[in-house]
Amino acid sequence: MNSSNNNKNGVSRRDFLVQSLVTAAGLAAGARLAGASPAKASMSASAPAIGGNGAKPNILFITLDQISCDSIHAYGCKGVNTPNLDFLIQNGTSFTQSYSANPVCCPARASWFTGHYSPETGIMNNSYVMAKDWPDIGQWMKPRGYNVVYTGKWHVPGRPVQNSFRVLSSDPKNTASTGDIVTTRSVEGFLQNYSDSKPFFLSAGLLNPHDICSFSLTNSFYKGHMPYEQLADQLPDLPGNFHVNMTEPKEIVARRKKYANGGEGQAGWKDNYWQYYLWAYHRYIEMVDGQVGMILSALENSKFANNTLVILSGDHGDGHTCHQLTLKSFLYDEAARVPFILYWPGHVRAGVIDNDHLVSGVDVVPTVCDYAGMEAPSKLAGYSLRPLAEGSATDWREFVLSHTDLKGKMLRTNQYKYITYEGDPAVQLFDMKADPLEMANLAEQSKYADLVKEHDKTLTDYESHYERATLKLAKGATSKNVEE
Amino acid sequence: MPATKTPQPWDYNVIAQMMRDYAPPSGAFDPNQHWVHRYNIYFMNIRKKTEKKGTLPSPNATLMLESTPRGNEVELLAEYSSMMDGDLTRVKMRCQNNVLLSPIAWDLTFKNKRATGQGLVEMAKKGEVKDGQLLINGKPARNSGVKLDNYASDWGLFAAAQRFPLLAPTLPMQFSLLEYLEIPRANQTLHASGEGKIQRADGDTAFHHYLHYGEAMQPTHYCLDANNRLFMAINPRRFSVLMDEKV
Repeated sequence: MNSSNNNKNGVSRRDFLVQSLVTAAGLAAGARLAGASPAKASMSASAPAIGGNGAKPNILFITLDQISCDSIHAYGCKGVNTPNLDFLIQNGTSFTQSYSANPVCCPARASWFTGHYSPETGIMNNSYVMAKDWPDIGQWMKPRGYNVVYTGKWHVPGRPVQNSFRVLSSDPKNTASTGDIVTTRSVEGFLQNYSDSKPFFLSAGLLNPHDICSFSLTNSFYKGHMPYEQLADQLPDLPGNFHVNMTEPKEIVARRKKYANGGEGQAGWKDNYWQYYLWAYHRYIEMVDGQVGMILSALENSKFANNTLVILSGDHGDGHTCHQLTLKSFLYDEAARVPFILYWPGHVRAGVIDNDHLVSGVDVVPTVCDYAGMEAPSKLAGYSLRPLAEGSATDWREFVLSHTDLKGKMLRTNQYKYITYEGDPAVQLFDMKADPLEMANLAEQSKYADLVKEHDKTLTDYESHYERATLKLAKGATSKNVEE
Repeated sequence: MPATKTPQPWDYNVIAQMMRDYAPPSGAFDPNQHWVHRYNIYFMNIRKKTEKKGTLPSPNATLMLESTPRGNEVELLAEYSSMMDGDLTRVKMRCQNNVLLSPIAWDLTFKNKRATGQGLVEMAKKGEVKDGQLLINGKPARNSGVKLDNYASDWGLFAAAQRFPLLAPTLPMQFSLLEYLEIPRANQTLHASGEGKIQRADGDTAFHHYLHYGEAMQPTHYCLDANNRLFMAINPRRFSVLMDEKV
């Protein structure tokens, strides 16, 4: 698979990563971009597909919308009950250092389904359309022996889902409360009825907890005052990083100001109203957890229970009061870090919570292709997670990237997170081991100047190898990001 | 309304504007007799325009409920459509004649007649609650750890709420919920929540309401008119309004 993973300059993306990191580590004179080591072929080597009687497995890709990685009970979140996500975590391999390629719906989904970062898909925010003809996973798998089926939320502008998949049920278009059950029922029906001899790739796009997007609008009549005194003893504590006291990029400062004074009216929110937001977010997560449970039940009771790999991830998270932010389109962990779980009894290691390896939404395509026993498309940014899920990998990538809107970029290494917005001198560097809540911006301190430069150079060098798309706005859209 | 009173969901301007054009069913209503109610369901995040003056906008989903007394039980027929692809979920359930109309056994079908995957998604299943356990097609459902003793279904609560004034349950009440008749949800609470009023073009409608919240449930108000008819159920994400009634 990896042999075709070369860019147009003849330098493989993986070689570039290794070279740049060795260089960066050398510059750091203490290898602060630590652990740089040549990647091994095992990272991406395509092993034979495995399934019942050696057949190719079915693959069920369940996607959630707006779920933060740390909002799941099994990962320690109090005040939320997620027995079905917990089940997958306890019986599969999950990755807690998993990053959205771009924490808002359309770009994140474009990266899921093509394996490319946003500058290469052209979908920088929800206002742009896919501007390059990278094959999506449906187009890729169909001629290679899979029936490719889709149901639920898609939201990849410029790439009509019906051109790539057989569609079971339409995109519920931001109405999770009325639409998710239809997506789930269509999966149930499919698993009852499917009888083709070909394996299937079924992608099920659940929409919640995205309904939290409507919180500010539909609770606006409360004017920031907690309306339900009956809930007072149920409200969760605000997170440790609720209060912010550090340098932030202008975009973040402006976002907080906009939410404070705009329609959200967050300037008037009392502490218990922020808590009520968090309480409501947890309820939406419980709703979608129930849908996941229905899908798992349908799978367990079908003839495909033993030969189906389940992959579950989220497109992006939600601020959920961390850094006194809500919604998405920023690069703090609450918006950018998402669940990524693989589950297949007997094939994927059970009960492994991987807190070490950095993974990304761009890893979906190579992972799916690896399990399906097919070569992946060329020039992908991602890697197959199969070696990690099976416990056979020893080396891994040293960093992942994420983008947001037109200017924001993140480089996340094992130790640090670097955030920069083009044209804004206010960059951020966090020590994610010592400061996982991202409360102390090390870039404010001169002693970290070299480390900031190293991260910036690694990011810039990586970006220089992008095959950038020419950005194209959706019909009637402006370049302004629309977060719905 | 006194200036200091906490605003309520029906005060939300989108809802208030819609309800001005609303013409509710009226007259005597006995929830213990046979009745049919058809609800429009709106997703609260979408500002829909009214297509025709004096009417409500087209809904995001619809729910039809038919209740029929059957000896010591109540039969409830529910038909739900999200109106996306001609989808229809139809469930006929036998319910205990208790305050929550707890479902005993049911048949559920689903189809999606306009989807390209039409032939692939039609399905049927049977459910029942036996000894506090949920069984689907005769098999125990995924272990939720929720014992179903004092429990309701989400659609059944629309019917049950209309009997609260008659049966006078002790409130606040703790109960469990079978969401979509599939997902057992613990820690549900029901409160009596007072009285309210909506302004309509041809006169105000006063109501009393019950508040429901719990796991996987945004705070939901069940609003009954003077004849104990559930004409509105509202929470921050979903707004259901009774469109017509047959008795």
